[in-house]
Order: sequence, then C-alpha cells, then structure tokens
Amino acid sequence: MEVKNNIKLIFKYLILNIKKQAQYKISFILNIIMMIANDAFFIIQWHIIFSIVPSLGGYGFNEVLLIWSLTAGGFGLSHLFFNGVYNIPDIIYRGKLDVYLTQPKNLLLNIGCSSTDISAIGDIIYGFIALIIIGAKFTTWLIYFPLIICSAVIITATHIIYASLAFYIKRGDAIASSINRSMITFGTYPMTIFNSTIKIILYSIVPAAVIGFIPSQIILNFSIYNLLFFVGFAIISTLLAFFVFNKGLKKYSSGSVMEVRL
Amino acid sequence: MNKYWQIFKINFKENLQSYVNTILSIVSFCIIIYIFVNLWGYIYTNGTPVINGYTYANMLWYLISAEIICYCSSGRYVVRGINNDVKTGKVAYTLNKPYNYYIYAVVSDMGEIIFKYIFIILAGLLMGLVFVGLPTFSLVMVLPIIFAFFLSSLMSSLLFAIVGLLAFWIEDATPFYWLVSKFFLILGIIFPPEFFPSWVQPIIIYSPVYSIYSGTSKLVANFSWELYANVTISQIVYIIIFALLGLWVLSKAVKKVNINGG
Repeated sequence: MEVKNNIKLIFKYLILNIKKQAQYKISFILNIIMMIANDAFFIIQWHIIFSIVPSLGGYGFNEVLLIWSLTAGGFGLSHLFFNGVYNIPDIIYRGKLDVYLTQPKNLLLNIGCSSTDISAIGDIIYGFIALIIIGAKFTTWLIYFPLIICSAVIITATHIIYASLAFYIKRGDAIASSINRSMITFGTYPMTIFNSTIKIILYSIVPAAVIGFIPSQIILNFSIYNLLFFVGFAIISTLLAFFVFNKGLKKYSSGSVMEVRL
Repeated sequence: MNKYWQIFKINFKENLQSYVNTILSIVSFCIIIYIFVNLWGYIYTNGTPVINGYTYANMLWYLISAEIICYCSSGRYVVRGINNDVKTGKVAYTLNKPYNYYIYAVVSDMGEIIFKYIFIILAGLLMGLVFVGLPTFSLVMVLPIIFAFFLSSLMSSLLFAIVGLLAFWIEDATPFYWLVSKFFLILGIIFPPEFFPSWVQPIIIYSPVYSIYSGTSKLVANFSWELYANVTISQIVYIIIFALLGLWVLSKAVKKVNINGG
C-alpha cells in the first residue's frame, strides 16, 4: 500500500514540476530540443571513429549507439523523476533540510521528487531515437524500459551515496558531481577498450559500466548472470543510499534559514 | 582599465579558496585524458601507425591541448553567471555599476580561466609525458604557444558571454550553451580537422572552432611558425569581431530588462 502511495506521489510531483516549468514556454521547448541535438552530436564522433576501425572489441556503431541509448535513457529518467537528489549537498550546506524534515512523507523521496530537469525529457527522447536509428528489434523495445529504470535507480542511488558526504565535509557537492560526470563519460564507451584495473573501478565505486554497458550486454548476449548482477546492483545501491543518507542525517544540524515549501 | 584588473584579481583570488574544486577538476581532466589514451591506443594498435597524418603521439598531444583549453575555458561559468544574474534579478544591480556588464563578465571569467590554466597545464604535461613522452617542439616555442592558449581562452570567453546574454531574451541561455559547446567538442576538440570529409575541413578552418581549439592544439602536436602566424591572426580578428558583437548585443539586451522593484 505504501509503495503504491509513494509511486502516486512521485507522479504527482512530476506533473506539478512539469507544469511549473512549462510556464516559460520557449525555455521549456528549447531545453528539450537542444538536449536531443546535444546528444545527437556524438553520433558524428562514433561515425568518424568507426570509419577508422570497424569495431572496438566487438562493439560496432549500432552497439555503441545502444549503450548511448541506455545511458541517456537512465540518466534522463533519473533527472526527470529525482532531480532533487542532485541538490542534496546544497540543501544540506545551506541548512534547507529543515523544511523537508517537517513534511510527513519519506524524506529522501520528498527531496528527490522536489525538482525536475526538463532537459531530461530530451535525453529520454534521444534514447528512443537511437533505438530507431539502430533498427532495434521488438524484444529490445520490450525490455528497454525496465533496463533504463534500473539504470536510473543506480545513477540516482550512486549520487545520493556521494552527495551524503555533504553531511561530513563542506564541499560534498564537488565530489558527488565529479563522480556523476565520470559515470556518464565512461558510461558511453564500450568497456572492451579499458584495462582490467580501470574495469574494477567502473564496476564498483564509479559504476559507469553498470548503467549502459551491462544492460547492452543483456540485450545483445543475454545471460542470466548479467541480469541478476544488474538488478542486484540496483537493489543494493538503493539500500546503501538510504543507509548512508540516514546515517549522515544524524550529523545534520539545523540552520537558521527561513523557508516555505508549498 | 584598473577596475577591470581589480575584477580579474578578485576572481583569480576567489578560486584560491575553492581548492577542492580545483583538485576535482584536475582529477576529472585526467580521467578524460585516460579515456582518450585507451580509446586511441586501441584504435592505433588495431589500425595503421599514422592516421590522417597523425601518429599516436601527435594525436594524444592534440587531444591533451584541446582538453586543456576546454577544461579551462569551457564557457560554462560565464553563461551560468549571466543566466543567474538575469533569473534572480541581480542584473538590476550590476547594470547600474560603473562598468560595462559584458566586459565585467568576460574579465571575471578570465580570472577563473587563468587560475585553472596553472594546474591543468601541469596535469596535461604530466599525462602526455607519462603516456607518449615529450612533444616535438623546442623550448623557444613554449611562450608563443602559451600566448596562443591565452588568446583562445579570451576568444572563447567573449563568445560564450554573448551566448549568456541571450538569457535577456529567453530567460535561460543554457540550451544554446550546450549546442555551441557540443559543436566545438565534435568539430574541434576530439578530432583534428583532417579527420573530417574534405568539404567540411575549410568550414572548420575558417570558423572560430579552429582559432579556439584546432589551430592552437595543432601547434602543440606539430608546431610550425607558419601555422602559428595563421592561428594568431585568426584569433585576433575573431577577438575584435566578438568584442564588438558582444558590446552591441549588450546594448540591445539592456532594453529588454524589466525591473519590478522588490
């Protein structure tokens, strides 16, 4: 029952956030269109690379575009539904957490849903465009959504874990956004080009391989181990995010900032 | 002139306080270079030793130089600064100060850029030395190259400040920032002009992309005095054009300001 209520709440927040931002019509539309163009620019990059070499460790143009589609989709969903988590360090640093603490809903969920990045819609649309370009099969379309939901959960949870450092150190935002940037940058490359040391990092503390490469493997060469690893990673990272955030919350001391949230 | 020098100094010194950001910028820069080392290492190992006139060492020095310019003068801060000034209404206070707002934005940005150069150039040199060894130019060429980097950044700052001024019309200039920066990334940063089809190359060579990124980076990859003269002349011409354009855009932008009190 509680899960159902929380899902309802997430969607209500989303609709409210979108309505709020749609008031600036030009900015709203430009954000979406420009993000699609922004992502699409990378097609040129990969087109040039694959005109030099036919494949990167078995990954050709279509496979790389599939990784892009999955990463963009996961990243887009995370910023569409839970963009608030990307403000956690700032909320803590400025003592703005008080206003969320007084509200009756789950604290982390409440913060996460408090804002929406409209350009994330552009990322999600680009994910679909990339699937159309590569001529994805029906089965790929079918499992695409569950996969990007898991990716979004991993991206969001990883950010919460690093953002919770703000409870302990002053510039937690810089570390969290740096990890986030690294995840997205590494996440769009096939892991076959990296050596094993770097792979260990990309499968664990900066899980860039897990958000795009692993789901692409599930689509291209299905194995139950990859699926279990992927879903397990999403569950464990979520539990860890709640644990780390709640642990850090005990360190939080209220500020004197006066704020009202409707 | 002295007031702009003071603004430059204040912004330069401000960065001394945020050493965490500087360290993370260096880490993030090294990560990007490491990805390129892996990617191009793979391509050169599985392809020919010279691709479009570039050896692996040439290519890596080109990428390191282009990334140094990109990291130090990405334009993100100048666009975000003008955006915030417009959105928060702070612009009402800055426009009536005894300085030109456009020059103020550029000089502030340059204060930050020069500070970053000190660390990012050192990190870039270190990465290049570790992975491919010394570049081919002699010590006599160091100062001209540093001057070319400075002109690149000034040009970039003048251009992105114009992009930022678009916020006076559309509330949020960020989508235009994405588009321009991705245009630069693909056409100037991650590939030298020689990697593009022959009909695209003249467009790149006469565009600002070349003066900011490609030309300057080619000086490090393969220095020649003829190239240096070409790059410097094009940089000076573009700096004059952008400066005049920026001042004109500002004169139009201030007429769009509505101040509602408060």
